[in-house]
Amino acid sequence: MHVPVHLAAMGCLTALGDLDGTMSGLRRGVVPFGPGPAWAPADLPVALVHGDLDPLDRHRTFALAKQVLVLARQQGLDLDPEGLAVVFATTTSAMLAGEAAIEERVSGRPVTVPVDLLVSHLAHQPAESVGEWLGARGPRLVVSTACTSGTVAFGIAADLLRAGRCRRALVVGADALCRTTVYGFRSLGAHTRTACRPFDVERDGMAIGEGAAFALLELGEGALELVGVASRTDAHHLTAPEPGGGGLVRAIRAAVGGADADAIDHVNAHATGTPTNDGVEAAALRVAAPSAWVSATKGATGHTLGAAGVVEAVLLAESMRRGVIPPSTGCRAAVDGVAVALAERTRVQRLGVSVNLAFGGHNAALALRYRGASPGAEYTNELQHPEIARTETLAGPHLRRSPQGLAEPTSSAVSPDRALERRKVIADAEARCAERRHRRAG
Amino acid sequence: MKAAVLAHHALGWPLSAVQDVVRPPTVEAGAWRRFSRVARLSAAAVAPVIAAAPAACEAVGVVFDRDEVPLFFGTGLGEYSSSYGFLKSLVEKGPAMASPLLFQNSVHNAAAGHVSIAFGLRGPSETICAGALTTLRTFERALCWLAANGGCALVVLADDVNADSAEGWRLGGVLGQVGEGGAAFLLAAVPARAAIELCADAAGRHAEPGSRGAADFGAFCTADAHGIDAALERGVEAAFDYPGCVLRVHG
Repeated sequence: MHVPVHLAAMGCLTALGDLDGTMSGLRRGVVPFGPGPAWAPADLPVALVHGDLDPLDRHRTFALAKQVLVLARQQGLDLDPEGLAVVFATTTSAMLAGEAAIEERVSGRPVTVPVDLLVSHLAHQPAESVGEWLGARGPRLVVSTACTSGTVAFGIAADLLRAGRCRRALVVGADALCRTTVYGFRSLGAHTRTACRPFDVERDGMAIGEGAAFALLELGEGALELVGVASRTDAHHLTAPEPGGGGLVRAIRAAVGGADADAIDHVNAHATGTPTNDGVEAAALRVAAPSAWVSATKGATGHTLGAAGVVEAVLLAESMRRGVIPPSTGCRAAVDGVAVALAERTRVQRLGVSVNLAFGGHNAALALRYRGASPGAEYTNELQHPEIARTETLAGPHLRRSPQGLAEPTSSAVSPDRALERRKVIADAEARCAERRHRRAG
Repeated sequence: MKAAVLAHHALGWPLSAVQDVVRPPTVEAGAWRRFSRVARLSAAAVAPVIAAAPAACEAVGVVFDRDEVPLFFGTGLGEYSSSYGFLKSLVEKGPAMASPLLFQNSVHNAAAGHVSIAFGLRGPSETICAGALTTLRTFERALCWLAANGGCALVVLADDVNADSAEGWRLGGVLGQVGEGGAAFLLAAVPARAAIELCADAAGRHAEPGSRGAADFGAFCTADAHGIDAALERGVEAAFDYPGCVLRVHG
């Protein structure tokens, strides 16, 4: 018997702000990338969270997670600790704290980092820290499947609920910027030197962002039903996705259950902005979600790594609740065959999917069904093409540092030939989507 | 909640008697060189289990399908050693010489990824870290999955401790007797003689923040052979001999 699970509450904290701030920032095309901490290379743009993090929390990953929950509590969120499970998604855990100790030890300097900080570097600490802070008396665990961690965490939480192992399950995702990821992705040549442009034909790499998000899952029916969560593995390569995206197709199909591929209205894509990831993902989406509008939010939030699955599931849920598809910041001309939202669209979405890919050859997908009242008029603006004008204004290839340290997109001229080519790509994609919608309507 | 243990294998040793992990014949030598130590312990543990899986599953009427079987990987320390190595190279050689290989192995699910590639496992894959309760939480996850989906599931548990990272822990006086090892189980939601069961109060158990001594680190080393294997083969009912691990093995 199918036991429904729904999202009872949710929130996020990104470089754009809280959930409202992030949605607003996406709508306005804010690009919050800027220089990182002193230890980070100056030429790599990153998206840091600027907020009132508790200065007593020495583990930034925990501080980020705590802050997003503090904000939610201020808005009335009740987290009854009795039977509350904490499923924490993270890639680096409290790595930032451990790095300082390792650096001291390797360089032969006297170790000054407190022992408790060193020990807290262990992978499971964020779940324990959040659990202790909340007094949660259900299971606590960290799921660390790199960049699919957040998506996978939803599946674990839902199964814990359905098996009666907890009364409510708190899915939390957080990752703080640290040397390992910054220099690691740099060593792979995966970082952009300009701007993160998910699904753009001229994308050249990812940009790391900090973030945290949570979702409170409960049994029973609600406005935002968790239809399914699925992961599949490529068994192909540790860091490169399987060409063709077969693993992702299988994950999406498993997550939506028996729903038709054409029934998927909105996909929040992984879309890191690397040539390889976005190419493989586009190929998979053409097969597994051919009629969906696709949003790619990492051009504004940065790649929040282990938190990405939770951040993006929350953004998907909020988009469905508001009846909008957020624009894909940084994308000027999308790859062929994927209906990337370049400007905000108003659209009722009943079935939405969030997908993530990760090191280890992991592919994960999460499907949500919105059962609430229709917040907007269906298909409004679909015959307009604001993104064509937007192509001109977001054409700048480089970030400009603002006095506040944030970065803004600069404008630059686009050659007439290039502009025409982009318009043709967009028009073709629009036409294909319109044709598919026409077929569905028929 | 309980599940049948259709096949299992474990290896491990104390840090004072560390051995080379023998490469399973099914893993290519080239791939083996890129494996982290945690991945090697995992692969060595899982190889005999996967070899036995088709027949073991057939015997109880379950299909072993490498495209669908889930892999639940539990690790307490995760890829600490690879992270340590990456940061060491960063400090000693500079950022320009940062090793992509060490970086790709630094994610905690690297071992699960290597295992899935080596054995062609394309189903769900989840890496779980819960400190001293990693064994418990990983089995709990597998049992929940089996309750929802049926079929069979692989559980792999592994942890390494290398001398460099151990020295870091010793500086804080928090490291006592440690070891390293790997263990693998093939579970199925069918009645059987050998079963693993979650005890009723397991959900509320937590890794105590203050108890990071030798006992907890012993629990990280889930595979040091005198636990799981012995209990199953003696056919006795025995709680795991680690604090906080509330699993029962039925013979």
